[in-house]
Amino acid sequence: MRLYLVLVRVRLRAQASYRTSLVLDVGASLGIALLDVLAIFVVFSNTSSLNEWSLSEVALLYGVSASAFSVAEVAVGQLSQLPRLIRTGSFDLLLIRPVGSLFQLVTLDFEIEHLGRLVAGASMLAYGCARAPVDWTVGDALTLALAVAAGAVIFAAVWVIVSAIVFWTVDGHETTTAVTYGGHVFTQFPLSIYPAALRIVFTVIAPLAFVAHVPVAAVTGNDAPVGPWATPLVALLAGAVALAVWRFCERCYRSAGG
Amino acid sequence: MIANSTFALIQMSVLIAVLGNREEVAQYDRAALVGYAWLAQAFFAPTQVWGMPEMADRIRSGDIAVDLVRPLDVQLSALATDMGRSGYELLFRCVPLVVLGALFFGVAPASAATLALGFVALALATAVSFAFRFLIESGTFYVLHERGSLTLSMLTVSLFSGLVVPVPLFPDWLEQLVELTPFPSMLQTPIDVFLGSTGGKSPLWVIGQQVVWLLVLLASGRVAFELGYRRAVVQGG
Repeated sequence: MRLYLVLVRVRLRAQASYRTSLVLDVGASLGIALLDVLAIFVVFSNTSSLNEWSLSEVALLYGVSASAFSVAEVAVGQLSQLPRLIRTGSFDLLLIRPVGSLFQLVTLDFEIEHLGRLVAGASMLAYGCARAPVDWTVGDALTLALAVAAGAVIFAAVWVIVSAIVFWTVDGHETTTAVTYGGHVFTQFPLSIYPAALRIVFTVIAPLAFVAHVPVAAVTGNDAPVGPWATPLVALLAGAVALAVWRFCERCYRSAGG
Repeated sequence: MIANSTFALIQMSVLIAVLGNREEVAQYDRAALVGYAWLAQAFFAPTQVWGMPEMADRIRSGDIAVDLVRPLDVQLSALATDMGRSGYELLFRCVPLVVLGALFFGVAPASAATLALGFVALALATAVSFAFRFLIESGTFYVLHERGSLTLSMLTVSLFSGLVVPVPLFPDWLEQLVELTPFPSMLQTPIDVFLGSTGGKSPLWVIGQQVVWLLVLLASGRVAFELGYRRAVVQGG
């Protein structure tokens, strides 16, 4: 844990020395997130409700999803380096060191600029909280806060599992993008709009439905397949599965150099 | 393919949910909305509205000097290269995605004529997309932090080309503004021509707009590049 914090500080200091670049990158990250936000507003300029979800309620969905996703992106986003490391044989270097390869991968860098998306997420959360027809209680606030935290864990776990496939395919970039970024877009809208196949994939296989829809539905009173208590449980389970899958795939790995 | 299909499914679901119980929204009925989601993903690869800023990198590193020594016109040879890349994407990404959409969701051109015109519009869209990117990347000669302008242009293009949401679904004032820009010509137009959902306008009219934008952007790009190159100093001799 201490090593993690040291590495985080080191990477952050390195990034801070290129201040203009960092500001531009945060802006870029925020801009990309705003595309999704604008899409939501455009959607609701054409309809007043999306399967009985109003704009402010979808704003809550987006807020939780984007906040959770941005934290996960900063924490484990470096996993996208895995294909390159395997292809160039550099991954073997990680295996020799006395620290786990997963730990090393996610601490390769710490791209704080992805928190630009967090700004968008927090803003939409604020907007949703202000406008949604909800009698806010402390329980509701806790549910949402827990949703963001657990959501980050679930996104990160899914990211790890999908990246572990790269040990076999070497270039899993597209599948990773589909599940991580695609998953993030998926969680921005209520489950009921999706065809059954997609819903099953994102509930059972990659449990992203628990990130936003389940907890927010509990707060707003919309339909949900299960109560909000499921979300932290799913997070714990997903985290455990992710670590196990990673260890298994790592053991199966045969590098190019033999 | 997997990423494209996932995004297509998600966008399709959102658009159909927007439609709700209505017959159509803007100029799109249910079938057109489904088609839109698939074609947006299918046409995204050949038109490359996001684009790899290769030329910007070459300008920044000075490698552009090599290109200028060659007996080829920089812009037109880059255009040819891009069209070639687009052809590859058309065969290996676009066609499979359209076939997938056709098999599972009934995505289809309105007629043989719109199919043919759709290809023309797609080729033009690729060229317009290239010309715009060439123009923006030429800005690298002038700007210290080209990444900022490149990112900004990428975001603008993504939104206004209809990649995220179809342009006709924008609020009226925004839609009218965007129609004055070249961005819909990069992605929205071939989709609409293919599906036959160009609203009140004739497909030939929107294709004509593409041609006009192509010429304007190519010309501006040449000027920007020429002027930029003149003021640039390449280090290393």
